[in-house]
Amino acid sequence: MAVVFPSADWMEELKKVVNSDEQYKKAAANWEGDFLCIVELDEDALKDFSNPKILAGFLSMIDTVPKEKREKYKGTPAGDFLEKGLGVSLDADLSSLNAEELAKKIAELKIGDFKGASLDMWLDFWHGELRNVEVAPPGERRDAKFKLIGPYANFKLLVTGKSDAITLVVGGKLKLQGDLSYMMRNMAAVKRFTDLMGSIPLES
Amino acid sequence: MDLDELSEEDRLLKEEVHRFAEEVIRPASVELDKMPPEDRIKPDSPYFKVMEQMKKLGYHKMLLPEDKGGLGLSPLQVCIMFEELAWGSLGFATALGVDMIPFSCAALFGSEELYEEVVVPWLEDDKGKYHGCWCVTEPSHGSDYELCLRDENADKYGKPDITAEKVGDEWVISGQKSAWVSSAPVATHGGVHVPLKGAKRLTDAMFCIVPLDEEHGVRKGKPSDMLGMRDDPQGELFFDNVRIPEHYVVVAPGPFYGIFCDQLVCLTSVGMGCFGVGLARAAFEEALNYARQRVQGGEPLIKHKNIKLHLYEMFEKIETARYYVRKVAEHVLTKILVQGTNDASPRHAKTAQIYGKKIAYEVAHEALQIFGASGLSKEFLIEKLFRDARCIIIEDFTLEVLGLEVAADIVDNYEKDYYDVSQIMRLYEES
Repeated sequence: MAVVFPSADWMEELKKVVNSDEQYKKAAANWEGDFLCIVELDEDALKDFSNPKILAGFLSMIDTVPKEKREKYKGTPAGDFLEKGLGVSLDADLSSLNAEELAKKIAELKIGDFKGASLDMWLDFWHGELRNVEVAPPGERRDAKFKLIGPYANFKLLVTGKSDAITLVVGGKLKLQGDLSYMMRNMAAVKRFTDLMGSIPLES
Repeated sequence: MDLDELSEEDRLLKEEVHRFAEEVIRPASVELDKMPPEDRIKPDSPYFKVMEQMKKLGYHKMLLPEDKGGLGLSPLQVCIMFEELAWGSLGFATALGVDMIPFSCAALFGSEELYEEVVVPWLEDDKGKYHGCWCVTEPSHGSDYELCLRDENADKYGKPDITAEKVGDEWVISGQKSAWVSSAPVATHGGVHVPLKGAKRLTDAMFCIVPLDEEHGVRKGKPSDMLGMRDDPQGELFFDNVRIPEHYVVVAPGPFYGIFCDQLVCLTSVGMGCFGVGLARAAFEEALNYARQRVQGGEPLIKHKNIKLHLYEMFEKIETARYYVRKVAEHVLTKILVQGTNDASPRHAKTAQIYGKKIAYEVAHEALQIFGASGLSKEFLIEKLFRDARCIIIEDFTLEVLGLEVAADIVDNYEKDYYDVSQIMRLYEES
């Protein structure tokens, strides 16, 4: 099923694709460790968010964060982007907002006003299973075993399958933090996971 | 006789490449060997004619998988091709090997933009318009680039002779690469290892693609007059404020640069191991044929027991080297090109390189001995093969340096059944 990236549907689809893949299960049988993907919002993100479908997808992801945890967005660049930039209340039911109207505001925004804004995704891998994918509010899950950091435009290369994680990390487009020795010992698992991530059909 | 079960396709490939090596490569290599260095790089040199034909045949695409525009050969087929090419000429095999390095690395690790801009024209080239080279060593740093990767005192190696600095959206490169960069005098693009300006260590570097022309600020030195491998011109490169765009950086500075270097040497080790086997076989066959014809003490040399024993020892070396190198090639090429996990074992790969190179020199040495005084004469091919074999044990890092690197890997990691990068990581964590 084609889904929008970023969106809650995409997170669900990722879980489904990974957990139904026998090759991944085998390659990651011994893997223990979580990942925090820090997707830095950039010009490319703004351009995509001017598409109401994609903006709705982005908001649906933030909407998966329980309301009591959304406090953490307040005063952060990501929170400012949502509240001051898009003019949405963090207490609102974000999935039901009028994305058509909100998308019109994107043209007036400058990404430089929200420097440091990011969409953080936490992925919990354990012995061949992707146990959980969730949006991490600012400051949460910072103790993840691995962190993959980079601009939205470069993450898009990964999720669209136009490039793979190894190429993006080797070329410096995505920054990887964590125990690289452990990762190199489990490269087959990492490679299979990122290939699966890039295989999810996306709605444009 | 090949102990591997060759398919019809493998057999045809072997025959085709061998015929090309025998009829085209070897005569050109002998001609080039006798020419003055500056004549070897003139437009009408046999060097360019052979390279053009290799491009026409698509040999430059032999390492890349089909989805990257390559021939999608099996590891065994890659080994067969490398061995046959080196049987024809170590120089031309090396020229083809270094031609592939910048473009194949760009295809495997570079951006889509770089692939379209640089790799696609190279893949489609059937005229020898594009030629790559591998720019590692510098006047002050030969095998240092290999040694420093796992050295706890990596800052003792001194300053690099070339550095890169980010200026705006571009990288600016200034400095020099050594006089023994293979194919540098004839190359259009370099896969260049460049430390960052102000870096304390040679390992604080990146790998990038640099167009090698005066328009970009690159000047080439005179081709070197070397002992052997004279069929692959070598020479210096001078970089004067050479500007390259960000997307020409294939491997960014940081720990993955160290891992990339390790894995690239695994790939080149497969090539060098096969080259050693091909060169050794060439020397062996020359000696065997000579021994069958040459009469001494009233009978052909092959009737003499000491000569027979020499021939056996040469055969033993070639056969054991070939199948070890092929086994390692299967491991390395599967990890890097098929699975894309880049976790090939450096100690096994380097051992294949060392062993292939070592036996090439030993076999050429023994073969020349069978020729007696004739072997010292330029009239016989063995004289050239011996000089080439003397070069191979220095080319692509000396045997001693490679041996020390393997030893260090064994001491630290022998019990581990995976590629351990913790030593490399420590180096980057400290810097």
